[in-house]
Amino acid sequence: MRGSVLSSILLVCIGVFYLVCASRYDFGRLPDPKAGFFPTIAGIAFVLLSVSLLLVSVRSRGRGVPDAEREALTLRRLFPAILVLGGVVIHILVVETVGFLLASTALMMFLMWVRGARNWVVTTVMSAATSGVLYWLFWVVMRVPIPRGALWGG
Amino acid sequence: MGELYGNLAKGFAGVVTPAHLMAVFAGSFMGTVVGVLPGLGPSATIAILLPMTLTMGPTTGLIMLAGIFFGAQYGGSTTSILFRMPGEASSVITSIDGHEMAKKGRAGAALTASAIGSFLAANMGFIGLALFAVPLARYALRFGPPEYFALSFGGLLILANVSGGSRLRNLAMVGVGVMLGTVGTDPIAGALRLDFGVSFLAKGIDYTAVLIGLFGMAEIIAWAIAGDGGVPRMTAIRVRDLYPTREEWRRMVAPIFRGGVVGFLVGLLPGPGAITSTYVSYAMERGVSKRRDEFGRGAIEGVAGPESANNAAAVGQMVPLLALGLPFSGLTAMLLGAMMMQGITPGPLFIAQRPDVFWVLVASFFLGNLVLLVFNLPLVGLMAMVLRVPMTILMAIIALLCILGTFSLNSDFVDVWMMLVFGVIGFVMQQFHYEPPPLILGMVFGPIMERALVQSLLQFQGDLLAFWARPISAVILSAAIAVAVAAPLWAWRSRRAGRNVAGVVQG
Amino acid sequence: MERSKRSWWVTTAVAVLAGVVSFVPERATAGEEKFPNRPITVMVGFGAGGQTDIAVRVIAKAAEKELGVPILVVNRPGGGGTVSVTALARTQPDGYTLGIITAQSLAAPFMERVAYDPFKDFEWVNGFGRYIYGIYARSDAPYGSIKEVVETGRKNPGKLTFGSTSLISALGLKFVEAQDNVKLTYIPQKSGQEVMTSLVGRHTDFGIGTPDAVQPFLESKDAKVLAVVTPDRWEHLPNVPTLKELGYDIDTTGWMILGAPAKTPKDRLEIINAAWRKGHAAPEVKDVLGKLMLWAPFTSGAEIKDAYPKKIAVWKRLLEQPAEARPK
Repeated sequence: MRGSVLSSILLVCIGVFYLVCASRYDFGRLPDPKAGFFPTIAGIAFVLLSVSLLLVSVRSRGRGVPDAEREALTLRRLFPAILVLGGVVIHILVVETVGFLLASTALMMFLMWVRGARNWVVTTVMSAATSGVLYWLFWVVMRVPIPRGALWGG
Repeated sequence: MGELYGNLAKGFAGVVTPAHLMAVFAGSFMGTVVGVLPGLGPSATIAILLPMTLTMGPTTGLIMLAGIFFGAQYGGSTTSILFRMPGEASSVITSIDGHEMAKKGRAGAALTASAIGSFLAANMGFIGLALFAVPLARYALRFGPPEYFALSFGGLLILANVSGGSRLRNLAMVGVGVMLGTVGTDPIAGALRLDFGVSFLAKGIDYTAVLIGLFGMAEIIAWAIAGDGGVPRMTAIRVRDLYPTREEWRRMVAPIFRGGVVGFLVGLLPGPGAITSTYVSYAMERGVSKRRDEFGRGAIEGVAGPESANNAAAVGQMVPLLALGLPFSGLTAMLLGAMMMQGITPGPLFIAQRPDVFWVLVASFFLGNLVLLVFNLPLVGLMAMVLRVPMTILMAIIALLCILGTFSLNSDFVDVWMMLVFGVIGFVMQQFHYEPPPLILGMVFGPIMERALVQSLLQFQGDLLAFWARPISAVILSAAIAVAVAAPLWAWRSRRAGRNVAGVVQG
Repeated sequence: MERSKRSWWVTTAVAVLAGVVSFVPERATAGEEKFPNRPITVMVGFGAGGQTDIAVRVIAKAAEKELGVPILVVNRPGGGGTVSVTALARTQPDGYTLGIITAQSLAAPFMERVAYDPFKDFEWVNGFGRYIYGIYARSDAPYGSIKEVVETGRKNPGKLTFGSTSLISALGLKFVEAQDNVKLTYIPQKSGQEVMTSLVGRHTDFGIGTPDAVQPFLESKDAKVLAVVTPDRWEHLPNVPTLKELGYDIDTTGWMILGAPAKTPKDRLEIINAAWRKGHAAPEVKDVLGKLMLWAPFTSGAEIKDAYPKKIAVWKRLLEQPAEARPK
């Protein structure tokens, strides 16, 4: 499989890192295990697992069925995803300030725009409606706290 | 038996008061909403509604909360089947075959199978509850830390491979999940672990946030990149696509029945019964099915079984609560709290002392279950049509749902950031062919396993042989190790045999 | 190319806008007069449904009416309350975030590294409930009193096990261990119900828990109470001695403390305190607290703060000992 060697090396590194962190905690003894006991054992097991994975993938390198339909993931192709993630990040940062309704409407409009929506009327209406429905469902029906926005003292 | 009917009759008589009926409907409605919406789970809702149940009569509040509790197990499969986005851990397994069915246009059939299976299995559970509550609960008491360790360790070994794919990779994902589960406070001394001095890791990593990220956010990222070539869109829904074919109905029966039994028994035991039951049911169905290769590509057994199991497990969780007053999970602990607030103290004498409460509750379970079926069946048609909505709008709505749902877990933005991070990780995992379900399994079971292991070691002063001295844990551990060792050996042997026979190495 | 250029512009514009907008409310709310004018959050360091959680939720609901704004109860479980307390130490001292300070979080600093100072980093608003513990055993157990437990324990060092939810509540038996030179084994458990499950299921020999946890098992004759770890005997169990009477001078009764981060303005704390007290005194709240078997006197934060250092000194001495029993 593609990238097997690379990914298993990564896993080994994660395992070793984890073990190093786990070793900083007191291991204790068998009748009196402490905070480091289980993580150390789990870490060792994981390192063994990922090393096995590495060995297997090295051995079968070049032998697997190639991934036919996969195109290269260039930055250009990843760009819409970056936009989406960026939009969500901004939403999280802003929502306590401007309130859920406004932030979510904005986010939805942005996401739809990223996907190519150009009919502003439909976009705005759908976004506002969805935000409103979700607000109603979560806060009014379920009484789950939703950030109302400090701007309005909410 | 006659006594049972008499009690049930009294219970039903007690349930048909206006207040109680309203509670059943309200609870079922809210439960369905909670179940369909990702992230938002019954625990957040029940916790918030707890003080409000004070003003309702003793039983009324309970009926409503129970309605939410059971209802949440119904809707969970919706996003799971339609978008491969489980909203909670108990729907992860359903997403495997459920979404494949949706891709083939059988979303309606999958949703119906889920609803019918849930209904039937829950009823099976209620019967078990009504007939055998006390002896079952007493038996469940015999499970102590060594047994939980055996169950969780064995469970990890056997169930890791449930979603297919390379065995080693799945085990590695389980390992990652276990490691993630150790972040936060350790179960013994409560010391902070692996938090790197950062406060947001101190409370640990919420596995529901991780799963919404791994499945939900990752899918959104994939869609953003794939453009319209992503998930096949349904243009025309024919009525017969909404419901299962005769063949599918036939195939559903046995998995529902097995799921009900397995789910109920698993739910009896402490721990995340609903989640575990789905993994076990799926593994079982794949094991006994003659259509093993269809699993992972849209086998209806892979939907009917787990969905039935998680509803039966919810009922199973009620058994120790009502029969002994011992809640084995966070949700049932809240129900206990609600009861205590009303002055009803469930305990070993509860059923005997307060039959007025117990049987009315049981009757409300049956009734609520019926109401839930009535709510959910028409939803099938509605939901299947959701697939006709253009991706542009759908993706945006789902993104918002992921954010809001994750936030509602603990009213904490930290969870939302986690979801984002794991969304990216999930996308990367997809690219490298690593499956998410084993990771979730590891995160859920890891802490349980650790706590059970440490408690056992403390109790037996480090004597490892103690695990084999006790009958239940000995059996489970031996079976798990046997299966874990035998399966890859078998696969390896058949691969070698295949090579010798075929003569030509494939790839 | 034109499309992606536009995308960059849009993204930048939105980012700038977001940045600007995030700053505006800082100035807008600086001069606000009325407190409170938005919801208040109370962080509870235990899972939902527990004794503390329910007590807080019902009091909060009653106090809401006094304050005029919703009170959102949020669970931040972990470490016996330490996770929640750590988070509380870091929030803005504007009076809008409060939390529950528990005995375990007060004692945690002696046992491991914590990121707060329980006395300096918080304002203790009031104490509104007390955690009281008893020592329970199965009714068919061969020991009827602590004395017999000690005898059995001496003959089988390390074999007798007891479970509890925190080291503080476990101190009762740890004191016995230290004073009578007997070795018992402590099993940390997650919740009061787990303690009872483990006891009734014959996985541990004793359990230490609150009165509500054992009550149904007392009635069903599955369990019995060996001793209580409070200054006085329990009203509904007049025949059960206190540890003090038996010669062990230990009191593990802790307060449920409502706290706020240090430097929260005193006038705001007063408003909160008044509302909380009124909520606590409401008849329906008293009713529920009674049903939870929670002993709930009300006192000011200052009083508790003064009394605590002495109490903690005893705990500190016990907790800092190694696991092996040492005579006093």
